[in-house]
Amino acid sequence: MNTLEIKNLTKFYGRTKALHNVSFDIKPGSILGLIGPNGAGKSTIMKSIVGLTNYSSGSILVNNEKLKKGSRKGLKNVGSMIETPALYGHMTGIQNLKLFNNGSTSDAEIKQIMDETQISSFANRKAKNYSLGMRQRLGIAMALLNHPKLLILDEPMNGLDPQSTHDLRDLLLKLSKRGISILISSHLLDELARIADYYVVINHGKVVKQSDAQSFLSSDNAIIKLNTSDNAAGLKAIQSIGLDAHIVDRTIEVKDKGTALNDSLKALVNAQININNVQRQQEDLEESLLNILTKDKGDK
Amino acid sequence: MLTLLRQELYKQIHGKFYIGWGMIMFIFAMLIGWASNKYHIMSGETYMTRLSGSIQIILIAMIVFASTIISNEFSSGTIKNLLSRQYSRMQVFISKLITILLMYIYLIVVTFISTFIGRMIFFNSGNIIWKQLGTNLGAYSLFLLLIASAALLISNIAKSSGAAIGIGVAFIFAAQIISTLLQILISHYNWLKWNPFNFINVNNQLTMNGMDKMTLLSNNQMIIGTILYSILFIFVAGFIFKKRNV
Repeated sequence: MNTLEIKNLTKFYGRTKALHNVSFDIKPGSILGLIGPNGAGKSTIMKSIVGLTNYSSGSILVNNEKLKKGSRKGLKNVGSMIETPALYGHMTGIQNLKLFNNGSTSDAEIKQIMDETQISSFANRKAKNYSLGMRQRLGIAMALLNHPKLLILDEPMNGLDPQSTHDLRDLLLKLSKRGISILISSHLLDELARIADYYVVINHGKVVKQSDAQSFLSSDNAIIKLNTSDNAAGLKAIQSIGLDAHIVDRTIEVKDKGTALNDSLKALVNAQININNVQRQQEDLEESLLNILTKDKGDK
Repeated sequence: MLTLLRQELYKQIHGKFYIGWGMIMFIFAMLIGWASNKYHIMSGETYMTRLSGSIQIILIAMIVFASTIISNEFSSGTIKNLLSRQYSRMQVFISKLITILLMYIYLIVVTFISTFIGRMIFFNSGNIIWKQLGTNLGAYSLFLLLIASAALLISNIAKSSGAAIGIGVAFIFAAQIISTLLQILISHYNWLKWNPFNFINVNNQLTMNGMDKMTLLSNNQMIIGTILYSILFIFVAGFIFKKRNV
């Protein structure tokens, strides 16, 4: 049973179609990174799940409970932080936490959440005096109340310093190991790449790609970088066997396809060119995303 | 539902509204009691049955409260926390309505106690004419129901809490002016007596003689009309709340 199943979610803002038949699901204990440019529809998907905005058609199931306008039982075990954390400024951090505890989280568990999100040191101060990072951490702590099985976090790393980002990453990995599923969006793709098990790329309200993290990154765009005793001759030798190669910054760059690495090395050895350095550069999440978005633009 | 109500009360207990307005009610009752005694503005009985004249203060407090209880959540973004859970929007809305009612009861109780203390201090008497007090309270409660439900409706349309309060307070003054102007027309067009502004006179009609000749409505018509308009305002406010995107 999937923790979250979204089928053909469609949303109109007036006459504008904001979401086009969006479908994806999240398995228990996995982290799904929702990525895409600004205005792609990521927040609208998240808002639709938690009922902050009405969707036009499609279905959303949380823990096998279909979410309808009149039936929102499925949200009982969903914790969320959408866009900026919303806090009651006149109340302290701990009061904000207690406010949204529906009684299922004990004081000891609240303390544990406070320790895990590292808010204990400022939890007795009024929330209106918090920095963005503090607000962000309290927002995440609030999302962890009431034993969620699904966490929905929209840009949770915004405003966090490097240490806090690192700690949040560890916390999210720990939570996923406990069986909590996480739907997360972030523009910090390097950070997302370290935790996400799956990715769904959204552009113009459409899912343009979805896959597991492994296959998402092992696309055709990896590059082999070669440094030789004679780069000009080396380039000729590699190109002569039909590989796509160029010289960039005094380095031969070969598009890594199939057996390109072996073939390039053989070609250089046969041409009696000394190889000084070989590096295989895997495409990172940012490059993958940009390639997908460029391809999507091209398709239109 | 109980969880939602508990949360609303938790927010109020940790807020300043109830303490601030409670203190204003107490101070106002004391000041009026002192002034009434010294300058013979009103008798001890009138002071008590009119709750030291604090009803107007309660009116302003309730407009502010009803205007901000929802608009504050939208302007600060905290509405997301309320709506992104298993509770329906209607449950959230009803919990807000109950909180408004509880705040009204709280302010009435504080005013009653303050006035009672004022009566004992400044008029040296604890005697209460319950029937007159009940009539006054009932009439003002109906008036407040109409005004608070209109304020709640306005607050659902307004984007910011400041605007909601401003429009709410302006509405009360404007409504009284419009009501007076419409009374000229009511004598010519009888059907105009059913306009909502005419029901703003509910408290005056129920506590004073002769108002029915101006409003052209009987006391029962006035009571039922006020309740029906209030229900309509609350219903429309609830509908907007249900449909509003966050």
